[in-house]
Amino acid sequence: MKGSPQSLIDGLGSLASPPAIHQELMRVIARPTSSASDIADVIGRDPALSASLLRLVNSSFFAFSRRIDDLGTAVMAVGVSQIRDLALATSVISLFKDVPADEVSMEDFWKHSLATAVGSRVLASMRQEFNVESLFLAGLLHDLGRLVLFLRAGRMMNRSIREARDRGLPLHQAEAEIFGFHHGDMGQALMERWNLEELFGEVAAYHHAPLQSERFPLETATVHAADVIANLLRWGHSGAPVAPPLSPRAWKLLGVKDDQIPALLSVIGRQWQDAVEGIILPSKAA
Amino acid sequence: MPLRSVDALEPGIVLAAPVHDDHGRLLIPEGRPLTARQIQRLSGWGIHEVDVAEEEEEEEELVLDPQLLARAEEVVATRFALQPADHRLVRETRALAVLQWATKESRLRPSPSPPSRGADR
Ligand SMILES: [Fe+2]
Ligand SMILES: [Fe+2]
Repeated sequence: MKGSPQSLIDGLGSLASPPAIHQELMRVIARPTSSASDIADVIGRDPALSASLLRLVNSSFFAFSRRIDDLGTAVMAVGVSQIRDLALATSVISLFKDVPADEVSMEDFWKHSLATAVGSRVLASMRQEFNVESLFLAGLLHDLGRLVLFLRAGRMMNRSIREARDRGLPLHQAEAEIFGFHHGDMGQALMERWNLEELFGEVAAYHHAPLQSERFPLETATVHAADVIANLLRWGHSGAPVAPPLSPRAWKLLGVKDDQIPALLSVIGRQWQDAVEGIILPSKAA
Repeated sequence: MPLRSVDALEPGIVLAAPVHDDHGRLLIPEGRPLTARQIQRLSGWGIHEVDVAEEEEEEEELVLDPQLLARAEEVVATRFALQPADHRLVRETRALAVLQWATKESRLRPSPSPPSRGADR
């Protein structure tokens, strides 16, 4: 056992704070006088982020009837808190794109996270949820704690992966044996430190035990299911050799009918590819 | 996935992307079979084309070697080891995973030599 999640965050340096763009957006959004163009100005200072967001807004995610070429219009079309969530998702990927991990490449890790994010978003929009972008962000962040573990305790993390592989365990269980907590707890601690809304930490903490979430059972079940699907289809890879088990009771909460499943999988796969092209591939080239 | 003209839509067709109005308001979500009423309303909203999901069968015209499929079942079995038996989501996902793996392998090596590149270590 190597310290607590909190003590591991203390050694993270600048990553112990959320991406600067998020803090700035929160400040601007909190000002009652801010307009869409103030928000667009903040985002516009980061050209790579701006380009990624515009690609997303014009992708199969939204399917707007006309092309959106400027951030101000994008903010108005998508919504302020939605744009903030998408901006945070995109900037976290670039913040954590060079984590050294023997057993998994960062490209694969973020592809997995993005598949979970897209899956969560599609499941949320099937039940007509209001802010599907917050589910996208929750899905994107669900395994972030694992990157902290790679950064701060890489050897123990690699050992967890070998144990999981050799014994056929879910990786979070091997982590719990070795660390005394798992990547979900680690992620929750980081997101609390970042001052994100409680939803995100809780979803991370319970995405492998969704029925234990008290405050956000539906959101947690959503990300849980999307994560299992991403693992089973090897859409990206977060290091887990065996996919974590689906909770049939959590799946039931989502209200997806059996005959909707094939279309659901094909829609997620398609939007995931768009998201990879819009966010991950360009950031790799940068 | 193909854009389809609203005139050519039939109930039951599944949208690959949600339909929004110009203000970003969600009109019809993706992933669910369209109803006749939704199709009528689309033209009323001035929407002429929508993104539809492809039928699973259309996507896979490649004829896959039965041996390759059997090998795919084996490869995929490891990662499915912890899933509940006989759950519909698991069954559908497994079928897709097998198809995905076999398709990728047959593209990687068009020759009949046995596949050895395992994504699953
Ligand atoms: Fe996880
Ligand atoms: Fe995951």
